[in-house]
Amino acid sequence: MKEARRVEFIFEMLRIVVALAVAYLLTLLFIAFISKDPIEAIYVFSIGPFTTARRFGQLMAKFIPYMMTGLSMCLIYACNRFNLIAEGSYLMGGCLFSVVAVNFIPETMPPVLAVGLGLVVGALAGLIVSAIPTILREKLGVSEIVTSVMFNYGFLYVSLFLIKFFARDISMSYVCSRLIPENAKLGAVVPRTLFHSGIYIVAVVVMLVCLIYFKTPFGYRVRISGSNQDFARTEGIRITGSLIVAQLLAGAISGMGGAIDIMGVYDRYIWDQTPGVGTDGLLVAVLARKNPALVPIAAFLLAYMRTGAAILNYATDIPLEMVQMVQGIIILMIGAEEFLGPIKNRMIFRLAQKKDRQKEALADVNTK
Amino acid sequence: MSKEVLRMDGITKIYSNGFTANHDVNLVLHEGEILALVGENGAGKTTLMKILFGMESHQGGHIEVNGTTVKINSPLDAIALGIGMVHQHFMQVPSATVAENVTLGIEPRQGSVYDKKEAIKRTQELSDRYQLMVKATDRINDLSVAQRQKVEILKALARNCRILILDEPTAVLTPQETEELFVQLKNLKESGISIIFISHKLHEVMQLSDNIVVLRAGKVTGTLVTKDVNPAQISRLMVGRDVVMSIEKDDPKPEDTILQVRNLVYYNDENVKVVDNVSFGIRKGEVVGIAGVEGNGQNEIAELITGLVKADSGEIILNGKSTAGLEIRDIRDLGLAYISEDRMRYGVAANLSIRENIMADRLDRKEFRTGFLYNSKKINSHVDSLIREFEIACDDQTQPVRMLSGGNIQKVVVAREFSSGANLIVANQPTRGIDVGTSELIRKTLVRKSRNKEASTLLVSSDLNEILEVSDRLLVMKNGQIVAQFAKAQAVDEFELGEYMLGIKRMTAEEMGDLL
Repeated sequence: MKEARRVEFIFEMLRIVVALAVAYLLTLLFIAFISKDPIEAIYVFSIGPFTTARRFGQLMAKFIPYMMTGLSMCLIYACNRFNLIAEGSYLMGGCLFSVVAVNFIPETMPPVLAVGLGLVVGALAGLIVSAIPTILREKLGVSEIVTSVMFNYGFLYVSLFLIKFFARDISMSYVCSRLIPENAKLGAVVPRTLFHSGIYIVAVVVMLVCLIYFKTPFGYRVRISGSNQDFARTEGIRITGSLIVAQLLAGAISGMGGAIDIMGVYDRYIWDQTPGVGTDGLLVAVLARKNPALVPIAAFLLAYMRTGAAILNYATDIPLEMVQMVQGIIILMIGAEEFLGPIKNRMIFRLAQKKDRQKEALADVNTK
Repeated sequence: MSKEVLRMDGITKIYSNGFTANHDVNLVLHEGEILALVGENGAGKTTLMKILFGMESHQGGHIEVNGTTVKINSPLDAIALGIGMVHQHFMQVPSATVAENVTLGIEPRQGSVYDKKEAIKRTQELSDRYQLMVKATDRINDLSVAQRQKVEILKALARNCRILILDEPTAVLTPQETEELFVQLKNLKESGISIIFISHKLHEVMQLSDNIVVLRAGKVTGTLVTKDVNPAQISRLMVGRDVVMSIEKDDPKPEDTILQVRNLVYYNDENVKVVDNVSFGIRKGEVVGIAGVEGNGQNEIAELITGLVKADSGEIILNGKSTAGLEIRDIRDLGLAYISEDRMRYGVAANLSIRENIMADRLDRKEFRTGFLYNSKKINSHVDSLIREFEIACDDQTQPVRMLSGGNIQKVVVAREFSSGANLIVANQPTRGIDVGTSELIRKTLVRKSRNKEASTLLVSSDLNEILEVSDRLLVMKNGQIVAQFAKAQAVDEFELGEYMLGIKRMTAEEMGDLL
């Protein structure tokens, strides 16, 4: 049995690596065809994010929110729900933080307090947003896929309304908030880059979520309920409560992620479309195989590819859309559980055969 | 010798978890032969037949039907080759009639409209020709289990089957119904149909079959001619030693009542009264068994006591407290443990580790925590000691439960439920479909726990051997009611029990004595 498990593990890893490699190679192939200067383009795409401090800062600025929404989707995924509200939570987290920051945070407030308040506002906003599809689902059985997608769209307009009426900078020609006060911003870790100190907050959140997930009765309850509800119920676990709390927590993490992003990267709130970071969280969670401890790696990979694509877009003649196709390929390959499955089964079969033969040989020796 | 219709040669099946279900199995079937495929639970009989019926793939060997090598990739292929299978769990539409079920997928038509008359005529003709005694116009809902089984046979016959596979057909039948089935199977044989009959009941095999193939741990240990062997010889091939059926135990010394069930009534989703005014009690130090043909309310009794479903009236008192209105958590805290009949659905979370599965009912206990967080050392040593105690064959406690064999999965379930500190164990089909060793461990533990006053047991089981040997007191259920009580289960005669289970006999209140 031990071998069977090892083979399963190796193939699990292999599947992800091969999926990424295939997607990456396809991208390179595409570049080679499309671009007039393919060697330059490939270089920009693969090494680009690490060439200058500014570009690396861009990568880190994506990495930070991806971790938050990735953790959020991990929790929802563990509940075995397809609740996509992380997007709405992320958006409203950023929006409500901005409204509060431009209206209620005086310039004299100590930065620690201002940032702390911002995080709380973001988390609360995310939590409340997530409560809608979560409670509809767990209490009334309404499909969370439909409600979360619908409300994600609805909340985009709620956010635009809030900004227009309570935070709009009328001196600007487009819809955006007034400037976020300096004391409510997260400072840069590397000066004059987008790599901001939100990374420390996220690191703490990753650790906390891992602890909750693996080390508390609540984490066990969520995982058991998500894995097999009938079983959880039989063992006396209060499923509804556990699943609601987990999804609210997920919303709060996403919302906090939105606030952190605004605090670290932007001077003012400017999202007039859903930023997509919440939905990308699903991708991160799938890459991380529901394991919050693997979220940083998955988030980094995604941030790296996205940054490479963005640089490609402005530094060469290759369109951004191409990279979105690559993502499709990755999701397809990682989501396809049977990818490489036949080879895996054949290997397990051979191992069992070998074991049988060994057993027989041993029996022969014993009888002699 | 008559014509050979089927040959399975060197069949090997290894599941993707590495479990070898069949190893180089050879089997030959002739026209008009009844071949018994015997072996203990988990010997690979059903797997072999599922391969033949196209429900499972196989890695080695080949299959010949009527002398030509065939590839059977799906049940449709099998049906086209004239192979039919009657599963343990019937696949029928309960609200439709017999004729509709039998002709489902091969409907007779008049133009493009379903020809009801023709369907009934064909079905009735088949039923009459083989004397199966099923009425084509009856609804499946109204039929007994035995009749529903006949419908499955009809379904196969309507598809011109020449090879009929029956997977433990007598498991759900009473002795009388079994006799009837055997007569009908012999009729089928006379008309040239070949039958493969899966069983682990030796007296049935001796009575019915022409030849026997014995499987043990996925391998053929003997191909025998029935008239030349005796049951003892077969049994040695099946289990490698003579089957020891009896469990030795002292007489129980019952003390105070632990569980009282009074006037319990429960209607199921279809609004059928499946538990009808049931009252009984369980005392400290005894094992109470409930026998009955499956589907007569035993399973519902177990689910009512555990709180999975709520009674319509009546009360359940566990350790002095009524369980009405309590959540499952609270009922468990009163001292209840539950082994479910469907372990993959109610007994484990297959994708999670052994550790998580064992911890599932004790998440809130303070002894595993330091502050808010679990203490890994304490949890690990707790789980490891249970793995050792119950001899769960695994790599370590982080192994996902789905990678274990059926018997070991059930060991995970009992390791949790037996160590929960409960003083009442509701064991619902605790040894169904698992190996002899594990079954013995479970049965002996249930008896031991009752004798040392640790926990009493309510045992629901379709395995007559088990229910008669493990129980002290035996109740029989029929149509949701308790129809008989025996004070000493080990002294009960199987055939007499069958008559109560079938509803031919029924004890009066005086004969039953005090149930509480």
